[in-house]
Amino acid sequence: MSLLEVKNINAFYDSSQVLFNMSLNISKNKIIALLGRNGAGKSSTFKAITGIIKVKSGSIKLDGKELMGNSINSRAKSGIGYVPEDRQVFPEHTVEENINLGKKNNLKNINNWDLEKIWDTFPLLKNLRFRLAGQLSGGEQQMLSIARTLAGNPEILLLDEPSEGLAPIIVEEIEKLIDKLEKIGVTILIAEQNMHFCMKVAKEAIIIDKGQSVWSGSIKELNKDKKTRDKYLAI
Amino acid sequence: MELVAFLECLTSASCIISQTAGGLKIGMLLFLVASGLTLVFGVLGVINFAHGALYMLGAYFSWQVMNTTGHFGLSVLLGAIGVSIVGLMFERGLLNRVYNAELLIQILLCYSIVLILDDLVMIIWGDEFLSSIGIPEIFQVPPLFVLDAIIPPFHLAIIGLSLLLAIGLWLLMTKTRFGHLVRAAAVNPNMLEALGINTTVIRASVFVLGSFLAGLGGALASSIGSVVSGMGNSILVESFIVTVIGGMGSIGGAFLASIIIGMARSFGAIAMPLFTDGIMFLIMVLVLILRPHGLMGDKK
Repeated sequence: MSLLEVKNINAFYDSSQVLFNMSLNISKNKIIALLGRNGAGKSSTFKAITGIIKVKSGSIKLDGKELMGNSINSRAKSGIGYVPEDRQVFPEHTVEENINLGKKNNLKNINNWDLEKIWDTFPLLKNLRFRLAGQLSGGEQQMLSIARTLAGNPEILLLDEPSEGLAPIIVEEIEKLIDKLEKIGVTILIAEQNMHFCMKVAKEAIIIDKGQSVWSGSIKELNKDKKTRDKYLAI
Repeated sequence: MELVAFLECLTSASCIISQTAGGLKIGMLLFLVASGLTLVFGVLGVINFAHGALYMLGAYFSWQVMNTTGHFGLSVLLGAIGVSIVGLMFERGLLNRVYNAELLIQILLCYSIVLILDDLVMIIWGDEFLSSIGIPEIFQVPPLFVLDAIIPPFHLAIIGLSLLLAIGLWLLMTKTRFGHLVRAAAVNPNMLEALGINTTVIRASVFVLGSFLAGLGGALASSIGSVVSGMGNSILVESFIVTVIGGMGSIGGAFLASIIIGMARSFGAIAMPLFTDGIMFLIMVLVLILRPHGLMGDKK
């Protein structure tokens, strides 16, 4: 059974529709890339799943439980872990305070991301724990944003453009981190434009275009399939 | 301008001490009210024009409890708690519907509450000035003399209590999970919500806290002045000035600005007795020119 099952959702920004009968299936313990051009609807898909934008029809199930109609915070409590593309760390809180803000009370504690485990996984953040988040570099903020969401023990991590705006050497760090998370068994859906990055971290991919999912399969397959890439991903 | 009187005061230790104590009393009472206003603005993004009306309600509630039970501490406490309950009803019933509305709609809603409450207290308690509930018995003692300056002990108690509350508020905002959540909600409520935090509860709690502070200010004010419908209007204007000088949303800034305004009023009463309100506005204009975002506000 799939962990996250999105079926025929139609989502809107105010009155303009951004997702059209979009469907996705994400299995447990996998790292999957959500690919598509700028404006294809990757971020909108995440925002629809988290409840930030309005979904008028369709179904969004996590572990078989319907999330439609639930508030943003209750979806997060159900296990949706969202890491937005602009990281959105709380700049006037320290690194450790940011992570504590990600903690939730109602836990099933599947992964049990306590502070100790977070410091083990993100040693860089441990050294910066008393630093204000607003003073961190882009890469450090990205790490912090991921760590903060993990602190809430999500069932699935929705990573929106984690490599965006980061220097190549920092992107490598993020790749290593995602590998680490894969080994721990975290399920991650990564929205990306950077195909090269996805090749390294994900084994499967879903392509969306004009607000619909149009292709899914293995990354290797996609790498060979120049036609599909040209059609949906080439700029 | 009474320059001679002012200079005479500045050369006399007793005058400086008594005016400073008076200024601190005004400033700390003002801080109680203004900190609630700035807190609500910082987290809810709403300029609560009804804040002064809540202050007035605190004074009436404590007057009523005092005249029913005769217990000073109880009257102040119940005054503040009663206003918190009214605040909760106001936020849950009305204010939360206009969070995303334009500023004008928010102001209209708050202002209509001011008018309704002003009239409501007149219907219940009449339109006469109600005499102050007076100060508790243990403070009904001869004033302290410090270097010939006269300082009423009750004023010291008000300063002390407000100072304790200021420290408590600071600890709450910086050392507790609730405070961290509140500060995060002020910056980015959507992200907090996406982390699984119910920001509706946080907003309501902050409004209740703001109402409590307004109510407490009003209850304490009823012990040193009379109680009347509309008494919240001038404190509202002063609280706005404090909020602007200190920086919108900054509690530390409100503290600093309250003391500045308290001192300006106290010493201004000697230097320019007919222009004390004007001094306040002049300070605000000066701050707006030199530091448009306030003494401790964010550059936004």
